[in-house]
Amino acid sequence: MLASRLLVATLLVAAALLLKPLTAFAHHGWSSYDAEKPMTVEAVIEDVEFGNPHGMLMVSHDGRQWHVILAPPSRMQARGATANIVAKGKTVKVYGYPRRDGAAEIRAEWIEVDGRRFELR
Amino acid sequence: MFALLQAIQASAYAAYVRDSLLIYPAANIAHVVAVMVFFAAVAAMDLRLMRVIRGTPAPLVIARLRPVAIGALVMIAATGAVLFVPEAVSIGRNWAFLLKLVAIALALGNIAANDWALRRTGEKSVTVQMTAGLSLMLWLSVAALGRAIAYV
Repeated sequence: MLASRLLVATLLVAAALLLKPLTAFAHHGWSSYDAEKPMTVEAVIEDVEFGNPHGMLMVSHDGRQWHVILAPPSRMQARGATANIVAKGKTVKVYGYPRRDGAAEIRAEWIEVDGRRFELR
Repeated sequence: MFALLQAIQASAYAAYVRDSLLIYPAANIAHVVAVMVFFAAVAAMDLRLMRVIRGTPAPLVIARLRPVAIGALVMIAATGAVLFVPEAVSIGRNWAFLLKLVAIALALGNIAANDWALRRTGEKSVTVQMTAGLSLMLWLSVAALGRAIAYV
């Protein structure tokens, strides 16, 4: 039947489109960040927000103010990265990927505070 | 419009959703699950009207499944509002979201057209079958645009 053939064809195309980037997704996340240029920033936390859909902290690096995109609050909590640990004024080490468009924003893969590393993905 | 979005985002409720560990992910999960239920009901009705599925009379299929679709749609709208509120300003000017609203309006208008044709021309008319097919395409577009919000 035409409808079921169309459905199968659609699903195959969708699967083909999905499978290729899927491995990249699992490790490197969103396409607007450049996983080919990972960067590590060590700086003082100037501001931090634990909000949905994901947390965020602000640091200065190379004369620019960077937004560091964290995980959703529920995951931050689950990994132990609570608000009293990831706090304003503390030194943080961030490893992540910068935006492709050059905006001062990093999607953090992990952060280190008080000598503890928190994996965020 | 911007002031309204800003007021929504600055509201106490927005702060509550932003800061809660459970509400946001729960709304996110319920939104997706309700979408599945909604589309299952819509697809069964549309495929019946397109005569891909036959047997059970179309009016009976619609009578059984329309309440399910309406219930799921209410759930989708309610949970969608929870997801919208904490980021009202950025989502309010996200082109995927705006296009999604347009697609929803078209899909709802299409239901009205389908219903009208069903009553005026009978269930075997070309208009009924075409609007039923269009319904599937429009609702799938709504789903695709919804997922695109996070990536544009």
